[in-house]
Amino acid sequence: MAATATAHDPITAEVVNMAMQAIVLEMGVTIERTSGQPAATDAKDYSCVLCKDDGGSIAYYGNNLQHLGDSLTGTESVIATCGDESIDPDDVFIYNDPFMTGSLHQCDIAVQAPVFHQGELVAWIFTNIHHADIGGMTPSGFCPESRDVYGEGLRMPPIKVVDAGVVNESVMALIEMNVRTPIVLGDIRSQIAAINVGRARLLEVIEEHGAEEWKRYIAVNEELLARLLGERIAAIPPGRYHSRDWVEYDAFGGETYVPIECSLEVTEDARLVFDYSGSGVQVPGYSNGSRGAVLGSVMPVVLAALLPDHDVNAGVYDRVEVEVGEPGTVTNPTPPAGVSGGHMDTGARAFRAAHAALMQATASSEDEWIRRRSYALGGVSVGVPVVSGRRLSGDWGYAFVLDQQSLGHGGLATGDGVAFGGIDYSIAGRQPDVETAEGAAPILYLWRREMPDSGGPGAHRGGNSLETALAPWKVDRAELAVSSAGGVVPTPGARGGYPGGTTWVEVLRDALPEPGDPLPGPGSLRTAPVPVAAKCASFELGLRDVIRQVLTAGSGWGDPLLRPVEALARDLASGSISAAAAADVYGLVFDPDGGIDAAATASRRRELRSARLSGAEPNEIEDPTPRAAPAYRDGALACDLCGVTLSLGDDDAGGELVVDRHRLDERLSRWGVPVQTPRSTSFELVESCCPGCGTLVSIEVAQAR
Amino acid sequence: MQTELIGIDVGGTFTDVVGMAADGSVVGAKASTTPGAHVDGIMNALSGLAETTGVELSELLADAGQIAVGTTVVTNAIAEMRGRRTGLLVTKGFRDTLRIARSPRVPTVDPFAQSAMPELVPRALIAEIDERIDAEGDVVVALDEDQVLSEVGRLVEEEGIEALAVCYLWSFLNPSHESRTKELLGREFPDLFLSVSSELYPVVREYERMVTTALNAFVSDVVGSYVEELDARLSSAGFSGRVYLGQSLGGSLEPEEAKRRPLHLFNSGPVGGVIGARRIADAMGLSNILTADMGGTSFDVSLVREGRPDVIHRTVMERFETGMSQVDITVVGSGGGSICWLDERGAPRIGPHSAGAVPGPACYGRGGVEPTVTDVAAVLGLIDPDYFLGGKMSLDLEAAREAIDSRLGSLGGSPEEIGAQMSRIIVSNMLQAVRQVSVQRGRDPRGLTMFAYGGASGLFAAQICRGIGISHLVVPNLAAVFSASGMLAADPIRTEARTVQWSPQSGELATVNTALCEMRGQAVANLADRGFGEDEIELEYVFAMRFAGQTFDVDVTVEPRPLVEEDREALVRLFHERYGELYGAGSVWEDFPVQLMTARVIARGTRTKPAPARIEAGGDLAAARRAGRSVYMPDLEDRVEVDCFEAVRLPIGVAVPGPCIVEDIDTTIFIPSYAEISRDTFGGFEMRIES
Repeated sequence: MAATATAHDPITAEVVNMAMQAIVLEMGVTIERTSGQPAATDAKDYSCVLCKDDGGSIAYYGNNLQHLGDSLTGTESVIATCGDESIDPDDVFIYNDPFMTGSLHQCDIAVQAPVFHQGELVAWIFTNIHHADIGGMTPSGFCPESRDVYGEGLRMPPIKVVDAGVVNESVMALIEMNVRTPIVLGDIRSQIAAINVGRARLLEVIEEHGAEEWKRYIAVNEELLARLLGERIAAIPPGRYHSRDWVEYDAFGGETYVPIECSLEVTEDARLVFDYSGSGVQVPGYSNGSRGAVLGSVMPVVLAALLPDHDVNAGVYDRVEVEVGEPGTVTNPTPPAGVSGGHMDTGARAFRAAHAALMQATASSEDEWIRRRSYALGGVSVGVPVVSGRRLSGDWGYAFVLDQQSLGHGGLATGDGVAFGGIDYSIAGRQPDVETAEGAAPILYLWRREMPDSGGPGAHRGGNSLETALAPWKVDRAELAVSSAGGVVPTPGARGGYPGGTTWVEVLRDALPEPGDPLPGPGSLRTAPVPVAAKCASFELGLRDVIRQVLTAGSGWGDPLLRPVEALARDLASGSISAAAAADVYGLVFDPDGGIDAAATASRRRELRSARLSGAEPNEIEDPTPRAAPAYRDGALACDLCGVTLSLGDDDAGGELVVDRHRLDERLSRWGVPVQTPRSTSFELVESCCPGCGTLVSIEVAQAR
Repeated sequence: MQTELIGIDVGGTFTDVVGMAADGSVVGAKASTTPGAHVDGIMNALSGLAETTGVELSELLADAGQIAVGTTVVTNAIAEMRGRRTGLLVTKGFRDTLRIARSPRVPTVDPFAQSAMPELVPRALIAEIDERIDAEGDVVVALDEDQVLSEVGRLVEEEGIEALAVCYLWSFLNPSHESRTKELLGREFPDLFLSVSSELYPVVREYERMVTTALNAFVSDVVGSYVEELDARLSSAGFSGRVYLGQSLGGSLEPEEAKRRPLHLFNSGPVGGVIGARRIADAMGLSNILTADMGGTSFDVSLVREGRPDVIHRTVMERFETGMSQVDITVVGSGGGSICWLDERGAPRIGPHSAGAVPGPACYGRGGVEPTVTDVAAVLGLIDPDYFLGGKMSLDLEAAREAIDSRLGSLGGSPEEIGAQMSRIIVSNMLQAVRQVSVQRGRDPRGLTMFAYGGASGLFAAQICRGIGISHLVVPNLAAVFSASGMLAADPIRTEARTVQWSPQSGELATVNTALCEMRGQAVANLADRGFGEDEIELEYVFAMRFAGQTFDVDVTVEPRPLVEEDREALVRLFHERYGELYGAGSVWEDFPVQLMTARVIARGTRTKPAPARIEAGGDLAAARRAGRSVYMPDLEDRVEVDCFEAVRLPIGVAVPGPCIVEDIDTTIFIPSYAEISRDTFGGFEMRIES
C-alpha cells in the first residue's frame, strides 16, 4: 500500500506536510471561534484530524491527544458500517458510541466527512468536540453513578447528519430531544463548519499536486516519520518491561481497585508493543475505557517521550502497536458496561502505565538523547466537581469547576516540573479566572492557591498543584457532584523521585463565617472534612458548607537527596516547600539563625543514605549533580554516582538493588504530599536504591501483599 | 528641503528615521541600533538624515516641529524582566494569581519545552488584604483599612518596593475598595507609584487585569528615564518642538501620559508600518490591504479592513496575557537572517533561529556559516553582490554557496538548485502567515492589496501574492525604513475600556450610556488638555460582543453617540453580520441571545498633516536600465538573463514586464515572469500579478 520513498523530493514532501498542517490548524481555529462552550474554548477539548481513505492520520490538530486514537477507530467504524452503502461526496457523518466507534466517551461527538476527488474517495476529515451534554442521568455527560451504558445518555452509530449536502433535520431533532442544552447543536454546526473549511482546502491542495502525487507524498511523510521513530526506538534496549496501575472505582459506597497491567515489548526491529492483557474485570459503570480511550492514551506517551519535535502522522502506527486485552476487562469493556468517564479513569491510568513501562525501558539505554528525555508525569488524574445551586430567583445554576487546568507537571531529567502546568495529555488547556467562574454560576471562592509540598519530592521536584475552596453563594439549595479519577493511587515518580499528591474533594460543614466577618484562609477551617466519593452524582450541601478541592501535583524525578541546596533555598523563599519537608525529605539542616548549613546537610544526607542500606557505610558520592543513578560505564551498567555495577533486570550480573517497602499514604502525608487513605486495602512505595551509595534508583507503587 | 516632522523606529538591528517636509515629500536614513543606549542610535540616525538632506543636525532639529518615536524600551524591559521592584495588593486567598496565570503551559506535546511563568512580583512582595466583593458587586467583607496601611508600610520599609499595583476581585464592577486603598496610600505614601486595576483596566477576568496592572507598575520608570534622556539630548542638539511616542494601538502618546500608562508603548515600532501603509493606501484610494513586513528576523503580517487595522484586545507580552489592545500583527520567524536547516527526517526548515546582526548571513563575510534566507536570495542572483546597501557593503557569494552546500547539500543539486527549492519553503512559510490573517479571519485575500516593506519583502512578495491569489502589490517608497514613516502619520490617541455586561434585547440603555459617557468624558478631557479642540477629536465606539455562553468576543464598531431604543435590533444585526463575515456563512447562531461584554471608547486628536507627496512625471526607462544579470528563476528552474533597473530613475506609470529586478539603495524587488511593475505617483512601486 505505502509507496516506497526511495526517490522523493524532500522539499515537496515538506511543502505537502506544511499544507496539511495548515488545514487542520485552520479547522481548529474555526471550531474554537465558533464553539460556544468552555470545554472547547478554554479547556480546548476538541480535535481535528485529516485521515487517509483507511483512517490513518495525515495531520492532527487539537489539544486532547487522546483523540489520536478515536479518529482512527472512528473512521474504521464508518467504513465498516457505511462502506457498502453508497457514500455521497457531500455526506457528513455523526457518531459517538464508544463501543462501536471507539469514542472516548459519549459526549465526545465525532463529526466526519469523506473527501472525494474526481469520484474517488481519497481522504476523511474528522472533528471531535467534548460537548456540553449528551443526556443520561447526570448533566455534563459524566455519569459517575450510572450502573451501565444505558444511563449515560444518547449513543449514536455512524449516521448521516448531512445527506448529500442536505442537513438531516430528523437527526438534529433526535439529538436536541436527548440533550439538556441547545449549545450541543450549535457545536455540531461548528464542527460542520470546520469540515467545510477542511474539505475545500484539501481539495485545493490535491488539485495543485495531482491526486497520485499527493498520495505519494503523504506516504513519503509517513515513511520519513516512521524511519525517524524507528531510529529512536532502536536506541532503547530490546526486551520486555511491565508496569501496573489501578483504576479507582468507589461508586455506591463501595471501593475497588482494578489492576491495569501494561507490558511493553521493545522489539529487535525497533517497534513498541504495548499490551494490556491481564487487566481486571470491567466495573459496573462509568470507569471502563473504550478502545479509542486506551489506544489514544498510549500515543501521547510515545509522542512526548520520543517524537516531541515533529508533526504526527500514521507513520507512528508502523512502529507502535497496542493490544487492549481480553473482552470484558476495563481496557476492553463489553456492553452494557458504563464508559462515560473511561478516558479519565482507565484511559488516564493506561497512560500512566504506558509511561512507567517506557521509562523502565529507557533507564538502561546508552543513548544520551534518550537518557536526557526521561521524565516523571504530573497532572494525569483529573477531578471535576459540579456545584448546582438554586438561586434566590428560583433558577438553577451549575458550576463546572475547571481548575484542573492547573495540575502540576512531573520533574524532568533536565529540571523541575512546572507548577500549574495542566493535564499531561491535554496540551493547551487554559486556567479559567475566578471571576469567570463566579460570574457564570452561584459560587464564591474563598481561596485558590499553590499547595506547598504537594509536588513529589525529587532531585527535580514535581510541580506543585492547587488547593481551592469555594461555597455555594446566594442560593437556597445546593448540591455537589464529583467526577474524579480518585485520590488513593498517586502517579509514580521517575528515576528515584517520589509520587506527587493526588486529587479529591471534601466538604467542610458550616464553615462559612457570619456575614461580614473576614473569610477563613487555608488551615483556619476548624470543622472536620467530610470526604466525598470520587464518583458521586449527588451530595446534599448545606448553605454554609465549604467545598475544598485538592488537585493533582507533579511527581518527582531523581533522588531528593541529590537536590542542590541552592535549589532548596529558592523553594523555601518562594514558599513552594515547607522547612519541615526540606529537613525530612531532602535532609536539609538549618543553622541556629535559620540559614542553610551546607556541611551539616551533606553529613545528614550521608546518614539518610546509610539508613537505606540498613546502617552500612555508603560509598562516597564525589559529584552530586542531579542525575539518574544507572548509567553505562565501559559497557556495563553501573551507578553513575559511586561506580558500583548495578543490575536492573533479571539477567544482569551487577549488584542487586536494595529494596525497602513503606506504607504509601503514611510516608507521603508526613511530608505534606496529599494522598487519601484507602479503606479496603493498602498501597506501598517500593523503594530501590544502589547497594553502594544508597542513592534511590526507582520508586514503584504496589498494592500491599 | 525643510523637515517638519520626523518619525523614528528603533528596531532590533537598525534605527530608522524619516523626515517629512510641508509638501509631504520624505527622506529616510538608517543607523545601527545601539543596545542599552538607544538614544545614541537615534542621534546617529538623525545625523544621517541631516547629511542626506544636506543640512547641519542643529538646523534639521530646529526646523522640525515634531518628532515621533516608536520605541522598544517597554518591549525590552518586559522581555528581559528588568523593571521596578513592584509590590502587589490582592484579595485574601488569591496571592498566587500571577503565578498560576492562565497555566504556564505552552501548547506542545513536549514536557521539556515547559517552564514556569517569569516572576513579575516575588511572593514576599504580595500582600493579601481582608476584603471581598462578589459577582454582583456586593460587599461580602469590608476593606480592612488598617491592614492596607500596615502591609504597604511593611512592603515599603522592609522589602523596599518602588511601585505598587492594586488588584482586588470584582473591582471593575465595584471599585470602592480599590479607590479607598488609593486614597489611603496617596495620603500615607505620596511618593509611591500606584497602579490601580479599576482605573487602568476595569475589565472582567482578574488574571488579565492583575498582570496588566502589575506590568504597568513594573515598567513605569523605564519610560520615565527614557523620555527624560531623549528630551535632554534632543534639546541640547537644538530641538524645541514636541516629542511623541508611538502606541501599540497605532496612535501616539505624549511623554507625560506615557509615564502614567507605559504599557501603551508596547510593540509600537511594527505598528508604525501598518499605520504608514494605511496612509499611503488612503491616498491611493485603497481601503482593504494586507501589510507584509520582512525584516532581519521575522515576517510580520496584518490586515486593514475598510481603512481600519484589525485590533486584538488581549495582547500577549512575552508570556503575559494582558488586557492591552494592539494593532493585530501576526509574526512568523522567517526574516532575511533566518537560518535554513534540515531536521532529522532530512526535511527542510526555516528559522526560528536567526543569524542576527552578528555574525549575520554567510554572505556578509563576517564568519557566518549557517545559510540564511539572504544567502538563498544572493545565490539565486536576486541581490546584486556589489550593490548591497547601495554599494556600502559587498556580498561574499562564495561563502553563501559554501554555507548552502555544507548544510543543505543532502537535498541534492547545485547551491542554486537547492536555493530555488529553499525559496519554495520560505514562500510557503510566509504564505501561512498571510493565510492566518486573511482566510482564517474570514477575509478572501483575492480582493486585497498587499503592501510589502522592510528590507527583504521585495524579494518574495510577488511569489507570496501569486500563492494566495492577490493580484495587486505595492512596495511603498522608502520601503526599508517604512515603519519610521508610519510614525509620521500617528495621531494622539486615547483609549478607555470597561466591562459592561449588557443585553441588547433586554438591558437598560442607561447602563451602557452611562459607561460610554464617562469613558468619552475622560478621553476627550485628556485630549482637550493637550490643546485639541472639539472639532479635532474623532471618536470611535467599539463593542466587544458574543452569543450568550461563548467565551470569545467579536468587535463591532458603532456610531459614537449614546444608544437609543432603535439601536437594539441594529446592534444585534451588526453583530450577526460581523460574526458571519468572520466565521463563514451559516455559522451565526440565529436564535441565541447576544451579549455586550466590553465597551471601548477610542478618541483621536486629528491635525491636518501633509498628504503623501506626488511625483507627476520624470524618469526614463532607458536611463534606469542597468547591466542585466543572470538569475536562477525558481518558477522556471533555470538561470535566465534578466533586466535590472534603478528604482529612482524609472518613469512614473510605465509598466515593465517581468522577469526583471528593480533595485534601490536598500531594497531589491524581484518581478517574476508572471508580473509587471510600474513606479507609482507616490514614489513607490505597484505590481500586477497574474493569477
